[in-house]
Amino acid sequence: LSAARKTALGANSYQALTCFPETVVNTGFPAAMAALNAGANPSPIASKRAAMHGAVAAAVGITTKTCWTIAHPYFKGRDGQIRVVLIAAVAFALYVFAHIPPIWVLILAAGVGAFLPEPRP
Amino acid sequence: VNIFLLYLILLKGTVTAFAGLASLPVIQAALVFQYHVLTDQQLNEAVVITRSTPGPVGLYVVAVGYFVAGIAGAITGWAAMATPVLLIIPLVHYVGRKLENSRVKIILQTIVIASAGLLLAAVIPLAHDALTDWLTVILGLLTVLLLLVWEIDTLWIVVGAAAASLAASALGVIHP
Repeated sequence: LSAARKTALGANSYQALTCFPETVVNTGFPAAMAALNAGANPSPIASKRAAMHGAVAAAVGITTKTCWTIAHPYFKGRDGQIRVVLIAAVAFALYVFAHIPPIWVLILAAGVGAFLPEPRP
Repeated sequence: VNIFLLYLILLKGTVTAFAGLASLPVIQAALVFQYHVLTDQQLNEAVVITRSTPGPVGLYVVAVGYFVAGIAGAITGWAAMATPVLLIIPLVHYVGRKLENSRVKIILQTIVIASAGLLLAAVIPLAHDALTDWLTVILGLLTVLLLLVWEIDTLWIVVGAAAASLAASALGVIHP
């Protein structure tokens, strides 16, 4: 098939015709039908990539919401709310801005927790 | 990374995590940023796999292990996930009463809250990798909204987002 035909048919249709040259008639009505079918049905790899594209976006949303799921049980009372915001914000800042490894941030949190007073209801 | 080191890295994540995805920052820091054997894209995919299949959320470490070292890595991930659970049984038996101590509770609470802040920080590179066009940004925001307001099962959200992206791609609206 010529480059001009490749352009005219589109990538998927061109792939369909060139992958099975012995079974597909590449001229006339049969070729037109084959090209139409191939154009309407993108390759499984392209479909998978497209689906994954949306799914990973949802995964980011799920992970973001998980932050709230983790902190939510402690977000009670004025003391509890201040504590959650402060500890989470400091942990965030230590990791993002001070580049302290997460494991050390958690160890530091344990150390801080040893001296924190009990939250008032 | 060899299998034993992978096990230790994943174990470091699972031991310090008190909730499913809370181990993600530790694992991301080690495997993505330090050893460069995993990408943020693969980490996102591991979350997708876990949230669209039955089982606990923490199972994503099995998918992470698979991405790093194939079948052996998946088994390592499973072992790293199971180890804290197995360790907690004798631990509770011997120090069970101390776990009820209010000081111990406050320490554990502080660690859990800090892990929420770390997880939020870990989302930044994941979002940078995954939210590459207007559709994915909308899907990401919509996911948070749906989960916060209606608490829809994450399986349906993942399936819906995949279908929306597939349809948009078929219509030529986006080019993933």
